[in-house]
Amino acid sequence: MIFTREVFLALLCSVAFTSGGQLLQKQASLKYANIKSSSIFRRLLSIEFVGSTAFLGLGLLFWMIVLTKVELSLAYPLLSINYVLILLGARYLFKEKIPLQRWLGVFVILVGIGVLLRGAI
Amino acid sequence: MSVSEDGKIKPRSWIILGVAILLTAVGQLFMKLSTQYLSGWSELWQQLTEYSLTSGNQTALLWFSLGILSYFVSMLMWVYVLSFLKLSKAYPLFSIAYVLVYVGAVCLPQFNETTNLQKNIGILIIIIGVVIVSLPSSRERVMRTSNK
Repeated sequence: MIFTREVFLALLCSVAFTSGGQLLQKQASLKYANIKSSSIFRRLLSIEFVGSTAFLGLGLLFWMIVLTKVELSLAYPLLSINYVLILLGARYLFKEKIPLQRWLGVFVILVGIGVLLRGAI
Repeated sequence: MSVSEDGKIKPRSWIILGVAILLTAVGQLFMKLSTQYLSGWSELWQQLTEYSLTSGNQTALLWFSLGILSYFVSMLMWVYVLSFLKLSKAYPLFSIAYVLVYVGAVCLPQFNETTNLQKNIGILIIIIGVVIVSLPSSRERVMRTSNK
Protein backbone atom coordinates (compact mmCIF):
# COMPACT_ATOMS: atom_id res chain seq x y z
CA MET A 1 0.00 0.00 0.00
CA ILE A 2 3.07 2.26 -0.01
CA PHE A 3 3.53 4.83 -2.76
CA THR A 4 6.51 3.47 -4.69
CA ARG A 5 8.07 5.45 -7.51
CA GLU A 6 6.34 3.15 -10.07
CA VAL A 7 2.91 3.73 -8.54
CA PHE A 8 3.49 7.47 -8.41
CA LEU A 9 4.59 7.44 -12.06
CA ALA A 10 1.48 5.42 -13.05
CA LEU A 11 -0.73 7.93 -11.23
CA LEU A 12 0.94 10.85 -13.00
CA CYS A 13 0.53 9.12 -16.39
CA SER A 14 -3.13 8.38 -15.62
CA VAL A 15 -3.90 11.99 -14.71
CA ALA A 16 -1.82 13.42 -17.57
CA PHE A 17 -3.48 11.22 -20.24
CA THR A 18 -6.98 11.82 -18.82
CA SER A 19 -6.64 15.62 -18.76
CA GLY A 20 -4.81 15.52 -22.12
CA GLY A 21 -7.79 13.61 -23.54
CA GLN A 22 -10.22 16.18 -22.14
CA LEU A 23 -8.19 19.06 -23.62
CA LEU A 24 -8.24 17.26 -26.99
CA GLN A 25 -12.03 16.94 -26.70
CA LYS A 26 -12.17 20.70 -26.25
CA GLN A 27 -9.94 21.14 -29.30
CA ALA A 28 -12.24 18.83 -31.28
CA SER A 29 -15.35 20.77 -30.25
CA LEU A 30 -13.69 24.05 -31.29
CA LYS A 31 -12.91 22.53 -34.67
CA TYR A 32 -16.51 21.31 -35.16
CA ALA A 33 -17.81 24.77 -34.30
CA ASN A 34 -15.84 26.19 -37.24
CA ILE A 35 -16.68 23.50 -39.79
CA LYS A 36 -20.46 23.28 -39.91
CA SER A 37 -20.70 21.11 -42.99
CA SER A 38 -18.66 18.10 -41.83
CA SER A 39 -20.53 14.82 -41.42
CA ILE A 40 -20.68 12.90 -38.15
CA PHE A 41 -18.31 10.26 -39.56
CA ARG A 42 -15.77 12.86 -40.53
CA ARG A 43 -16.02 14.31 -37.01
CA LEU A 44 -15.57 10.92 -35.34
CA LEU A 45 -12.53 10.23 -37.51
CA SER A 46 -10.86 13.58 -36.85
CA ILE A 47 -7.39 13.37 -35.34
CA GLU A 48 -8.54 15.29 -32.26
CA PHE A 49 -11.43 12.94 -31.50
CA VAL A 50 -9.48 9.72 -32.13
CA GLY A 51 -6.58 11.16 -30.12
CA SER A 52 -8.80 12.13 -27.20
CA THR A 53 -10.35 8.66 -27.07
CA ALA A 54 -6.91 7.03 -27.18
CA PHE A 55 -5.65 9.32 -24.41
CA LEU A 56 -8.67 8.57 -22.21
CA GLY A 57 -8.14 4.83 -22.81
CA LEU A 58 -4.48 5.09 -21.79
CA GLY A 59 -5.50 7.13 -18.74
CA LEU A 60 -7.88 4.32 -17.75
CA LEU A 61 -5.16 1.68 -18.23
CA PHE A 62 -2.73 3.53 -15.95
CA TRP A 63 -5.59 4.08 -13.49
CA MET A 64 -6.12 0.30 -13.25
CA ILE A 65 -2.40 -0.13 -12.53
CA VAL A 66 -2.71 2.44 -9.73
CA LEU A 67 -5.78 0.66 -8.31
CA THR A 68 -3.92 -2.65 -8.06
CA LYS A 69 -1.46 -1.00 -5.66
CA VAL A 70 -3.26 1.80 -3.81
CA GLU A 71 -6.40 1.98 -1.66
CA LEU A 72 -9.33 3.51 -3.53
CA SER A 73 -10.03 5.91 -0.65
CA LEU A 74 -6.56 7.36 -1.20
CA ALA A 75 -6.26 7.09 -5.00
CA TYR A 76 -9.64 8.51 -6.04
CA PRO A 77 -9.27 11.91 -4.31
CA LEU A 78 -5.85 12.23 -5.98
CA LEU A 79 -7.65 12.27 -9.35
CA SER A 80 -8.57 15.87 -8.48
CA ILE A 81 -5.08 16.78 -9.79
CA ASN A 82 -7.07 16.71 -13.06
CA TYR A 83 -8.65 20.05 -12.13
CA VAL A 84 -5.20 21.61 -11.76
CA LEU A 85 -3.96 20.32 -15.14
CA ILE A 86 -7.18 21.28 -16.96
CA LEU A 87 -7.00 24.80 -15.55
CA LEU A 88 -3.36 25.16 -16.67
CA GLY A 89 -4.31 23.79 -20.11
CA ALA A 90 -7.24 26.20 -20.38
CA ARG A 91 -4.97 29.10 -19.47
CA TYR A 92 -1.85 28.32 -21.51
CA LEU A 93 -3.12 26.21 -24.44
CA PHE A 94 -6.55 27.78 -25.02
CA LYS A 95 -5.58 31.24 -23.68
CA GLU A 96 -8.76 31.40 -21.61
CA LYS A 97 -9.13 34.09 -19.00
CA ILE A 98 -9.28 32.30 -15.64
CA PRO A 99 -11.15 34.01 -12.78
CA LEU A 100 -9.21 34.28 -9.52
CA GLN A 101 -11.83 32.07 -7.87
CA ARG A 102 -10.73 29.04 -9.95
CA TRP A 103 -7.05 29.50 -9.05
CA LEU A 104 -8.15 29.68 -5.42
CA GLY A 105 -10.15 26.45 -5.81
CA VAL A 106 -7.18 24.67 -7.39
CA PHE A 107 -4.95 25.91 -4.57
CA VAL A 108 -7.41 24.52 -2.00
CA ILE A 109 -7.40 21.17 -3.87
CA LEU A 110 -3.60 21.05 -3.73
CA VAL A 111 -3.63 21.81 0.01
CA GLY A 112 -6.16 18.99 0.50
CA ILE A 113 -3.99 16.58 -1.48
CA GLY A 114 -1.01 17.51 0.70
CA VAL A 115 -2.97 16.89 3.90
CA LEU A 116 -4.39 13.61 2.53
CA LEU A 117 -0.96 12.28 1.51
CA ARG A 118 0.57 13.20 4.87
CA GLY A 119 -2.28 11.42 6.64
CA ALA A 120 -2.10 8.33 4.45
CA ILE A 121 1.62 7.65 4.21
CA MET B 1 -38.70 19.14 -21.93
CA SER B 2 -37.08 18.61 -18.57
CA VAL B 3 -37.45 22.24 -17.55
CA SER B 4 -40.95 23.36 -16.59
CA GLU B 5 -42.51 26.61 -17.79
CA ASP B 6 -41.43 28.73 -14.82
CA GLY B 7 -37.82 27.76 -15.53
CA LYS B 8 -37.51 25.35 -12.60
CA ILE B 9 -35.79 22.06 -13.19
CA LYS B 10 -38.09 19.07 -12.93
CA PRO B 11 -37.41 16.46 -10.24
CA ARG B 12 -36.80 13.91 -13.00
CA SER B 13 -33.69 15.82 -14.10
CA TRP B 14 -32.32 15.79 -10.58
CA ILE B 15 -32.92 12.04 -10.40
CA ILE B 16 -30.98 11.53 -13.64
CA LEU B 17 -28.14 13.67 -12.31
CA GLY B 18 -28.19 11.72 -9.04
CA VAL B 19 -28.02 8.38 -10.84
CA ALA B 20 -25.17 9.67 -13.04
CA ILE B 21 -23.17 10.64 -9.93
CA LEU B 22 -24.03 7.34 -8.21
CA LEU B 23 -22.93 5.31 -11.26
CA THR B 24 -19.61 7.20 -11.40
CA ALA B 25 -18.91 6.17 -7.82
CA VAL B 26 -20.17 2.60 -8.29
CA GLY B 27 -17.98 2.27 -11.41
CA GLN B 28 -14.88 3.18 -9.38
CA LEU B 29 -15.80 0.71 -6.64
CA PHE B 30 -16.32 -2.07 -9.25
CA MET B 31 -12.94 -1.31 -10.84
CA LYS B 32 -11.21 -1.43 -7.46
CA LEU B 33 -13.02 -4.68 -6.66
CA SER B 34 -11.77 -6.18 -9.94
CA THR B 35 -8.13 -5.51 -9.00
CA GLN B 36 -8.63 -7.50 -5.80
CA TYR B 37 -9.31 -10.65 -7.84
CA LEU B 38 -6.54 -9.99 -10.36
CA SER B 39 -3.55 -12.30 -9.95
CA GLY B 40 -1.18 -10.09 -11.93
CA TRP B 41 -0.99 -8.13 -15.17
CA SER B 42 1.51 -10.38 -16.98
CA GLU B 43 -0.40 -13.49 -15.88
CA LEU B 44 -3.67 -12.00 -17.09
CA TRP B 45 -2.14 -11.11 -20.44
CA GLN B 46 -0.70 -14.61 -20.86
CA GLN B 47 -4.01 -16.23 -19.92
CA LEU B 48 -5.86 -13.98 -22.37
CA THR B 49 -3.60 -14.98 -25.24
CA GLU B 50 -4.07 -18.67 -24.36
CA TYR B 51 -7.85 -18.32 -23.91
CA SER B 52 -7.63 -19.97 -20.49
CA LEU B 53 -8.54 -17.68 -17.62
CA THR B 54 -8.36 -18.77 -14.00
CA SER B 55 -11.61 -18.21 -12.07
CA GLY B 56 -10.03 -15.35 -10.13
CA ASN B 57 -9.12 -13.47 -13.29
CA GLN B 58 -12.56 -14.23 -14.76
CA THR B 59 -14.14 -12.57 -11.72
CA ALA B 60 -11.71 -9.67 -12.11
CA LEU B 61 -12.69 -9.17 -15.75
CA LEU B 62 -16.40 -9.39 -14.84
CA TRP B 63 -16.13 -6.61 -12.24
CA PHE B 64 -13.93 -4.60 -14.58
CA SER B 65 -16.54 -4.84 -17.37
CA LEU B 66 -19.29 -3.79 -14.95
CA GLY B 67 -17.08 -0.89 -13.85
CA ILE B 68 -16.52 0.26 -17.44
CA LEU B 69 -20.23 -0.13 -18.17
CA SER B 70 -21.21 2.03 -15.15
CA TYR B 71 -18.58 4.57 -16.14
CA PHE B 72 -19.82 4.70 -19.74
CA VAL B 73 -23.52 4.91 -18.83
CA SER B 74 -22.79 7.63 -16.26
CA MET B 75 -20.91 9.60 -18.93
CA LEU B 76 -23.87 9.34 -21.35
CA MET B 77 -26.30 10.41 -18.61
CA TRP B 78 -23.96 13.26 -17.70
CA VAL B 79 -23.91 14.55 -21.30
CA TYR B 80 -27.72 14.24 -21.36
CA VAL B 81 -28.04 16.17 -18.10
CA LEU B 82 -25.76 18.93 -19.42
CA SER B 83 -28.02 19.40 -22.43
CA PHE B 84 -30.58 21.12 -20.18
CA LEU B 85 -28.77 21.84 -16.90
CA LYS B 86 -26.10 24.54 -16.66
CA LEU B 87 -22.60 23.17 -16.16
CA SER B 88 -22.07 25.54 -13.24
CA LYS B 89 -25.15 24.10 -11.55
CA ALA B 90 -24.39 20.43 -12.19
CA TYR B 91 -20.60 20.40 -11.78
CA PRO B 92 -20.31 21.32 -8.07
CA LEU B 93 -22.71 18.46 -7.30
CA PHE B 94 -20.23 16.12 -8.90
CA SER B 95 -18.09 16.44 -5.75
CA ILE B 96 -20.67 14.10 -4.16
CA ALA B 97 -18.93 11.32 -6.17
CA TYR B 98 -15.82 11.88 -4.02
CA VAL B 99 -17.88 11.41 -0.86
CA LEU B 100 -19.60 8.27 -2.19
CA VAL B 101 -16.35 6.62 -3.34
CA TYR B 102 -14.64 7.41 -0.03
CA VAL B 103 -17.52 6.23 2.16
CA GLY B 104 -17.94 3.11 0.02
CA ALA B 105 -14.26 2.20 0.17
CA VAL B 106 -14.07 2.74 3.94
CA CYS B 107 -17.41 1.26 4.99
CA LEU B 108 -18.02 -1.69 2.64
CA PRO B 109 -16.53 -4.93 4.01
CA GLN B 110 -15.24 -5.92 0.53
CA PHE B 111 -12.78 -3.03 0.65
CA ASN B 112 -12.41 -2.39 4.38
CA GLU B 113 -9.93 0.43 3.81
CA THR B 114 -8.28 2.30 6.64
CA THR B 115 -9.15 5.82 7.60
CA ASN B 116 -7.85 8.41 10.02
CA LEU B 117 -8.64 11.99 10.98
CA GLN B 118 -5.99 13.54 8.74
CA LYS B 119 -7.19 11.55 5.70
CA ASN B 120 -10.78 12.67 6.39
CA ILE B 121 -9.72 16.32 6.69
CA GLY B 122 -7.65 16.09 3.47
CA ILE B 123 -10.61 14.73 1.52
CA LEU B 124 -12.93 17.36 2.99
CA ILE B 125 -10.51 20.12 1.85
CA ILE B 126 -10.29 18.58 -1.65
CA ILE B 127 -14.11 18.51 -1.92
CA ILE B 128 -14.30 22.17 -0.84
CA GLY B 129 -11.68 22.98 -3.51
CA VAL B 130 -13.65 21.09 -6.19
CA VAL B 131 -16.81 23.04 -5.28
CA ILE B 132 -14.90 26.37 -5.43
CA VAL B 133 -13.44 25.48 -8.85
CA SER B 134 -16.79 24.47 -10.33
CA LEU B 135 -19.06 27.19 -8.91
CA PRO B 136 -19.73 30.08 -11.33
CA SER B 137 -17.45 33.07 -10.73
CA SER B 138 -18.91 36.45 -9.79
CA ARG B 139 -18.27 37.76 -13.33
CA GLU B 140 -20.22 34.87 -14.86
CA ARG B 141 -23.11 35.48 -12.46
CA VAL B 142 -23.24 39.15 -13.51
CA MET B 143 -23.21 38.12 -17.20
CA ARG B 144 -26.08 35.70 -16.68
CA THR B 145 -28.29 38.25 -14.92
CA SER B 146 -27.68 40.84 -17.62
CA ASN B 147 -28.62 38.29 -20.29
CA LYS B 148 -32.09 37.80 -18.82
